[in-house]
Amino acid sequence: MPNVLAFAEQRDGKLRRASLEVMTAARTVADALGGEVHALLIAPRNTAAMAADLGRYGADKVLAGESAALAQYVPEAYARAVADAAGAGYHTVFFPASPMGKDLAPRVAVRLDAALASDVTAVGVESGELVVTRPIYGGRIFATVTVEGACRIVSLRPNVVRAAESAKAGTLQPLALPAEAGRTKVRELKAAGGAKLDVAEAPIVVSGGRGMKAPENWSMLEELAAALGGSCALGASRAVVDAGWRPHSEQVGQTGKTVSPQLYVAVGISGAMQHLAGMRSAKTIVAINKDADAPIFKVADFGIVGDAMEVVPRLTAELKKPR
Amino acid sequence: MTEAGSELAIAVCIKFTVDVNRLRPDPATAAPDLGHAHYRINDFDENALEEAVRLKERHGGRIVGVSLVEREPPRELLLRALAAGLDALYLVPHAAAASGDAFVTATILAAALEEIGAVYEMVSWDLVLCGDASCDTYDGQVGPRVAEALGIVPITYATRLDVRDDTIVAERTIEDYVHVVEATLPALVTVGSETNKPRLPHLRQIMDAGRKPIVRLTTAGLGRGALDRARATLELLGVTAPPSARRRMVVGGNGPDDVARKLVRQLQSDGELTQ
Repeated sequence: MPNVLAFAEQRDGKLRRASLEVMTAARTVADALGGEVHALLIAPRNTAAMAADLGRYGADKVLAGESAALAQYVPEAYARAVADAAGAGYHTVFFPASPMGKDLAPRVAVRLDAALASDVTAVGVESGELVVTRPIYGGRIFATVTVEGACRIVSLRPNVVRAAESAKAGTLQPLALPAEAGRTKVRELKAAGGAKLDVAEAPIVVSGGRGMKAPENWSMLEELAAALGGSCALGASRAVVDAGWRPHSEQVGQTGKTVSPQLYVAVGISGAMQHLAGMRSAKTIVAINKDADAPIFKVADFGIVGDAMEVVPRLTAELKKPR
Repeated sequence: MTEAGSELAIAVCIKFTVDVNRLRPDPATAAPDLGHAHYRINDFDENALEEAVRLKERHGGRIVGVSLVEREPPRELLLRALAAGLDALYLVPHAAAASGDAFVTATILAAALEEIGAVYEMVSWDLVLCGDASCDTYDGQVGPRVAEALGIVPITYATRLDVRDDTIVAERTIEDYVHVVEATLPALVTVGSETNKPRLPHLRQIMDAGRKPIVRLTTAGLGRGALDRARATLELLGVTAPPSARRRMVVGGNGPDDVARKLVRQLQSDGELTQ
């Protein structure tokens, strides 16, 4: 049977939102092919509870390995575990195109000698073929491609597929994990001080640019982000990352992260082509800039022409009012 | 192979890519107008090149660039890569480069790297550096695939790296953790814009660039049936323009309070703020 395998990413015993989106995409493909969806989960603990959630989102079976040693992502061990499981003959293997998934998917593809379509924004099956859409040339063009071979690997961009419940058994099946770490040794893990929710995965993103005037003004954006809710992450333009105001992990654009949130708020960002390459596929774009001719307004749904220092606190105050 | 304290043999994989920011799609077909495209060195490959130069400055050695090309890139780009610090540049012209297929690209690059290594009578490159991804197709898989084809260890998304004796130590930032990893050389490392800031070449380097070798490798010479294995894995069915048209609505009002209120109301009524 043409079954589909989906890698479910977790953090500290909790499923990532992107993992549920991947389940939904996998379900679409499996249903079209008449096969099952099997989720693959590697976690330090709590696999039974997570398997139940994965079942609710469409997993017929959950291959779960518990390992304290693999609580953090260990590329070679993860790649071997997924490739060993996928080698059982899956039609397609899905990953979230999260920072971890983008690292893991090519490693698995290499082990299986399989085709990989990275960072796709739509999946479907046409005449039995897996057909995916992926943005190329900085999101200015969408390419539709068929993925060929006995096993196909796909990484799915976060936020482009809405996770939908589809109750299945979610039968837990233990997964043997490789004991040795491989050729690369992890010597040390250091907290990078970045955000818990990566800007590439957040459904709402507030990004700041040079129009924020100084790094200390970011507290204003943090307050706006907090008023927008817990699933809002901060982004930044290349100019302010280059100036050292914000960490590179927040950079949105061609040489930073590509984001597709539900709502993208660009504050004091002029909209250079290389920035647009990273956020063009957001569902709704709000731009705040004091220059009415800034190119960002050409790609925005809603624009406010004004000084960020004046507009942002007022937006925050307005959002905090009871609805 | 590297002995303790010996010099490094470094290869840098380079893609001469269309300049995405200056690309105009054909309004009728939405296909990119590649006929009038400007070309550049892929952004992250400039970081790979810069990192190679920094390693050579510390450890000594040789840096060779290799690029799979559909047709001859503009000469100023070749000179730019040489001026940045390559000792030699190998171009591998092949029609398959047009597909941009990562599997094909990696297979040919790996075969070319082996061939060039043989020219220098090496058992293996100490280090192969690649960009994390290319800014046109943004696949992010050529690096790991080249590593596999060469049978060397891949270290992807490195933000910092150094070599001590025969060991490479690299930092990889994955979300909110920095993983400090090490592996025994040879290794393939991919880097991005966070890794370094490429320097502009000095006048002297620019002048020397014209005297450095540019070698065109014929794929006929590549061994191990590499080209037979290099099959395309993704078949392009078509391209379309991005789907959504933007509303481009300017929210106006009586002063910033009023504007803020109107925008929030609009977002609320559109359901943008509910999750």
